[in-house]
Amino acid sequence: MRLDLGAIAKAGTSKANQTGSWRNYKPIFHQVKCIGCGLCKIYCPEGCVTMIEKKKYTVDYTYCKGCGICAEECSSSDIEMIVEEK
Amino acid sequence: MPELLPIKSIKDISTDENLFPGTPACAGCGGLLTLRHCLKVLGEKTIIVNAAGCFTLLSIYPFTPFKNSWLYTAMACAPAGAQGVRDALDILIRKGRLSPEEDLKVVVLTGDGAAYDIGLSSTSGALHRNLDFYYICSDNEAYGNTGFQWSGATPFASKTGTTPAGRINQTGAELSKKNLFEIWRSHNPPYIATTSPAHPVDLVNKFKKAEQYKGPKLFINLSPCPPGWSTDPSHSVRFAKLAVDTGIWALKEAIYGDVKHTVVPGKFKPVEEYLKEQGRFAHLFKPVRQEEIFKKIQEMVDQYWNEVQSRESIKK
Repeated sequence: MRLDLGAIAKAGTSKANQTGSWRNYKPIFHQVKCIGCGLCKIYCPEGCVTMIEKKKYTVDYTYCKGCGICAEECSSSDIEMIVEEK
Repeated sequence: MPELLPIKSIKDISTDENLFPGTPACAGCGGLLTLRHCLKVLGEKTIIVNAAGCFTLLSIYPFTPFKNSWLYTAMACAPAGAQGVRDALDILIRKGRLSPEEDLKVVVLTGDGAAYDIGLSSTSGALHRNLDFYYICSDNEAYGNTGFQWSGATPFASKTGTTPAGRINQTGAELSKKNLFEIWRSHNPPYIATTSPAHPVDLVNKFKKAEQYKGPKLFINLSPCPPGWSTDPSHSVRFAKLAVDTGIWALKEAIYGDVKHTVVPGKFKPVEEYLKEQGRFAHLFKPVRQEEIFKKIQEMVDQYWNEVQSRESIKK
């Protein structure tokens, strides 16, 4: 990372911290029973759940900390938390 | 002109993100979730003045998750810092060195330690001077960043780092939570509201509504804190929801002192449902159930809503 004079951090440099390595449990988006309510996306504290198309959501594992809010709040129980093996 | 029409569902919330991932906030942080929603409404032409707390860790040079600017101050003086920034912006605009389109919204972001205790006097000063700024207090009900010690925001009977529950003190925190909403309201600012991460539509509408007022616009957000509350990170939104459903956290707003409740549950759940799965209240259930404490908390909640009912004629 290049640092500028005046110690100004560019917008979004926190992306260098790949917080996905913190994860103990990994959310699996089955994309089968999804009704497209969008609760997983709205309640993700990191903002790393994205919509690919209608009724199809996915998560960015580079940053997902594995809190499991998406799986807990999912209205059709389509997200499963599994133990992460590294 | 700001958009004044209230939104109806979560589908109407902007999908633009002004808060990037990679923050050092804990997994399941309720405060971070709310901040993400707040910044969607506030936009990127914002400067956040932060008082020492958990959120200070978000922007540690050279890393920042924000698109907007950030000024870090000591715990007691974030609103004073905001006054300096606001004045500087006003002077630059007046001298023509900054065009009015380049103006920034000044937002103070603090935890409950700075809002309820240490920074209360500087907030009072800023409210008295009618400073045009936003204040977001992320209330996790203790000093979360340093090990969850007791603060003015800690509710009655909560276990914290400095109010441990044991053989001598079986209650935990013996004092009840300060009523910061009413302290702020006594200054008569244009807008005050309480928010919850479980009700993003209500939160977005409140920020949109606040935009039309010039002067202090203040928000207190209940931020579930998994390490401090000893809860599972996945339950953060659930507890935020339960706090509203049991009546413990009242979602309300005050426009020039006129209070209105925005989300009133149809049927209130017993407070025990909110308390029973949180580690910070576990001493109330084991080794013996402390019925008189449940009764006291339930009475406090009932009394609050009875007063609201008689004032606002809301059906309970």
